[in-house]
Amino acid sequence: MRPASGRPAARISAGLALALLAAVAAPGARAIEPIPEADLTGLEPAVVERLTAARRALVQVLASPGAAEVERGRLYGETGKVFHAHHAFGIAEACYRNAAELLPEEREWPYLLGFLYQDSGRFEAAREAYGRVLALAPGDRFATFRLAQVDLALGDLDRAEPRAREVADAEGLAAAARELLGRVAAAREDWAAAVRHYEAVLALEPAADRVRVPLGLAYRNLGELERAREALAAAGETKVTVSDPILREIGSLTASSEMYLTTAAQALKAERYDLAEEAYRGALALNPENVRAHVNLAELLARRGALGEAEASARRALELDPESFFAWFNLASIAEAAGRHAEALGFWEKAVERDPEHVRANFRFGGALLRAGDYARAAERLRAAVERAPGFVQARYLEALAQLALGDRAAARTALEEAVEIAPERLELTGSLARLLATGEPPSAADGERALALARALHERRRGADDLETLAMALAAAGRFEEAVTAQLAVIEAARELGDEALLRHLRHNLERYRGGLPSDRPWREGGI
Amino acid sequence: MRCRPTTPTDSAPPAHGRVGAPGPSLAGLALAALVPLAALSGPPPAVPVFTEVAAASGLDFVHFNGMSGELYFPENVGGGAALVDYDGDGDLDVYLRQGTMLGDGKTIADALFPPPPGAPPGDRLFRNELGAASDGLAFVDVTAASGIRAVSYGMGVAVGDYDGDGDSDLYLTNFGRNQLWRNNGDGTFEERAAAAGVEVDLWSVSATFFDYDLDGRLDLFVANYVDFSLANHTPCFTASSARDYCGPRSYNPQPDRLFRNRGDGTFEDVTAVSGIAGEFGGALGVIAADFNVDGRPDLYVANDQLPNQLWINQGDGRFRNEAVLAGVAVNMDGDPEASMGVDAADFDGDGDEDLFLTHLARQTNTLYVNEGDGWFSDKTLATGLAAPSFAYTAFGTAWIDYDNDARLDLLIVNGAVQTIEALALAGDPYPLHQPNQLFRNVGGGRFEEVTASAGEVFALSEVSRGAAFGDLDEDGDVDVVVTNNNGPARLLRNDAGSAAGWVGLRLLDAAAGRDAVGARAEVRLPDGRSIWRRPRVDGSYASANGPWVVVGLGAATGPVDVRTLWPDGAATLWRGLPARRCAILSKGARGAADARVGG
Repeated sequence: MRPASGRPAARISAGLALALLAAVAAPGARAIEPIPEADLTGLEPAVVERLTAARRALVQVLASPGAAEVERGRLYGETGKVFHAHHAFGIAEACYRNAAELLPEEREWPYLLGFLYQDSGRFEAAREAYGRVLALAPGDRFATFRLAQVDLALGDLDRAEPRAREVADAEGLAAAARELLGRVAAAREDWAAAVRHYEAVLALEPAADRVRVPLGLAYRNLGELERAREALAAAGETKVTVSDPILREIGSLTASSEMYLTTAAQALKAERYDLAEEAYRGALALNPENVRAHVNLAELLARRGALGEAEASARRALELDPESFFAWFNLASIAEAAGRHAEALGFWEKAVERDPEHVRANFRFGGALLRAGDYARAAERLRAAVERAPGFVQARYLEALAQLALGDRAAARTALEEAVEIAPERLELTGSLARLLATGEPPSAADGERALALARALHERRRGADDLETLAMALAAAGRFEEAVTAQLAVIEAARELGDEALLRHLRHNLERYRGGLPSDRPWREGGI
Repeated sequence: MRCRPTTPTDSAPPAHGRVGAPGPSLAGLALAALVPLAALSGPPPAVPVFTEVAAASGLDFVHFNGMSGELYFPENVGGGAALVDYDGDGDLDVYLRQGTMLGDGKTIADALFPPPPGAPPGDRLFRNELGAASDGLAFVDVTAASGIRAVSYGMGVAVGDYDGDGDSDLYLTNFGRNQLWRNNGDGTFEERAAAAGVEVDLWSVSATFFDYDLDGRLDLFVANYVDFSLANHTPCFTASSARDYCGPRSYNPQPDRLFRNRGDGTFEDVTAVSGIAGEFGGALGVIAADFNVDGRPDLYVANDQLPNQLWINQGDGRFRNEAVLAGVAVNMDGDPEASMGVDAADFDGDGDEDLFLTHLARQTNTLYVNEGDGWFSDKTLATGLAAPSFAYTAFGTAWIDYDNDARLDLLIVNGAVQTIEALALAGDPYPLHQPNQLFRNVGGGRFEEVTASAGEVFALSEVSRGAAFGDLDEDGDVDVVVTNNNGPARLLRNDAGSAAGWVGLRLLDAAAGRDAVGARAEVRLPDGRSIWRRPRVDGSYASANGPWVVVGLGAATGPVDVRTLWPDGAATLWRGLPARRCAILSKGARGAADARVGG
């Protein structure tokens, strides 16, 4: 529980006292082991309170001469669950072992022991523990499923498969069992069977998109490349659900706000924003001073459109930690979303001051400065983002716009050329470069032939009105004014349907230039970047 | 290994001169230069396999991570090592990365684990004085004389002769500005990172020199981690709300860098135009190899908790990440893993490069078997490597044939990054340590763990990070230098491997004046099998291996034929190389049967 800080990490004396109490309570009757005491230093108050209370209750019962074995066993088990819920697995294990010793007829304790053994890679011990559960409760579906997992981890496919089949239709386990069968089939290189099982998983639990990876690879191995690519492209990180009631109960015992943050992160991955919000609020209920919970909640609320609440949460985070980069970042994003652009600029500045190398903060700040017309500072921030992330083509693109606004066509051209080279598939970049090359003031600054080559390539791949307009500009820049006029008329015709007068004015302005034997004098209409 | 040319073309330099170093004098070799090594007769040594001899041999180094209780992320990441013949005397010297105190205003007095009294700050270079000690291994600290002053927060080291002058240069990755130490050829170095244009100041961990454009000059790939800085350090917590070290997802991954060697001592940053900038994920490991067997070197980048990249060289200066369809981006469950160490070699004898990756506890290490075309299958379960690795957090690793039975085994060094509860409960002040592991390839695509019988050194429990592999004592088997975070470097001398047959190979490109990076060797065993090996100076974790290839021959005692495939597609057949000898195989040597592959 304690980080590697170099300080002594645990106090054992109280644990020994507990062991002594246990021995007094049941002299020689059962093999009861001592319960080490966790070091609670630095934990959240609610966690300390929960763990201390659990331990106190245990000590009291063990000290009571009249406590029955059943009562002591249950208390060991319940105490184990509390420690388990706070990831004090070693302590939980000792408690479960004592509970299993005192209550040999109850399946819960060997099951939980098996789970902890399995989770720490002691697979043979886990196998034995789950075996005890099945001896007590033949056919127990969760023990059967866990045993199948253990068999698979040990590479024992012949045992894993029948066990997984046994629970393939069990409530709460069907998708997970099918996934396990898929893994067995894949390990045997029976790709057709693997596909069947993984498709069954998705039919049962469509959100479980992680399984699309092994599904895609199974298709690949069957030679079905299109399906493989499709599955792999749709893959995500959401795992199949295992609805294990005992583990759910243990999850509910936590008093740690950090545990709620973990839950929230998982919910976000699965795009379950409602659950994530609930988890953040749960974290704050346990620890109202958890800055990250406030920050993350603010981000989530902003994403869900609740800007007022989001801002309140971000501001609360700043009260708790005025140096929080993420709180300033959130505040800036929220202010932008609310249309308070001037205010957002100040917040971006604060964020970048606190983490000058943060790529996205520099990018967002640069974008905000660009919109505000502060082109020099915008170029500076965007360059900082590009230097840290050379593949960040959006930053290069905005940098080009800033340079253009500053009148540095060469720098703008370089930025766009590089962006196109990095991401040739991003057609909007090609279009932008073509427009930049097609314009110039004086007209000799244009590079008509190159612009035309780019615009034609673009037009072949995409035939939107914007692309046609780019082609018209490039044709004009190449001196092919008649063709430019024809193209521009078609663009104007399409634009009429939009009813955008400003756009039409811009298009007609260019049309007149082409008719007059002049190329376009600006890559984009005013405010049309 | 001290493979000394004995043909008339050899200039017969003195014993500790530049014997065996690549250079023009080797260009005219008529055939493989062969030399018997001493002390190779007698019965095979008894177990243990590995004996720890760092202190006994003078490799006196204790890593210092500068931890003061603030839990700065880099404290947990550790530094690596290189085995490099820096002085060209034919044996492998040892370079070790060192940390410093971290945090503004912090001094050694704030350190929770201060360095040993009198320990000099910064990296150390130890010269191998082979033969000076009775057991054959002795090291002398020559850092001061070398001129290297690397008092930074050290991470990894890559070795390569970037300027083609016949000696090995060092690229040092740091939490902070990286350094390029150019070897002057006289035992001294000078720092040239800024002048050469490779002064990356991101947090870099691993790097590799390789010739991606096949122009005969070594290019450089630098694997970068996350954007942690002392300024953006934020507290991280365990699920139980205790403070602990942050994981990579608390910060943003940093793009890697690719530099093309211009041939004039400088590099051009081609990160963006090569496509490398497009995808990244917080890299800790990297290895260059030809994964799709098209004759061009590719890259595999091991990322921490984000999908890995397989950069397939397109041959036009660009790379394309094909990891997803190739099946090596994430494991067979679809999980991105916390990849740390990586190695690539042909463990199953089918002529292609298979990948092995080390991971965090509860993830298992992962073995991706190459299907021959650059597509892979996760065979971790089937090979028996999954369950034994589940409880360990692994870093440095390599495919090595430790027992020279002609099969590649696996050595893995471990050390946790988050508190191990059982150790903490026992009052351990640094509760991250774990023992290292050795796995023997038993054939049929299966491995068995032999850690318990591998020597007492495997009973040590330390926080291991880097591992560099090479035959330090030149007895025909692979030794290992292991670095420990906040602990002593270990030298694992292999005392068993040379009992079996072996042949030592050094593949040289005489024209380029250096080791033939990217070359491969097909060793034809008397039983008709072929095994493929290549010099692997990169891979592992933040470390650089020796360039020699020790090829285990198993029971074979007679001569073997070797076919070398050079990076430019040429092939050379070397007939009758005697076992238990080492040979320098130089591209274009007279008398060898040259053949062009594929026209």
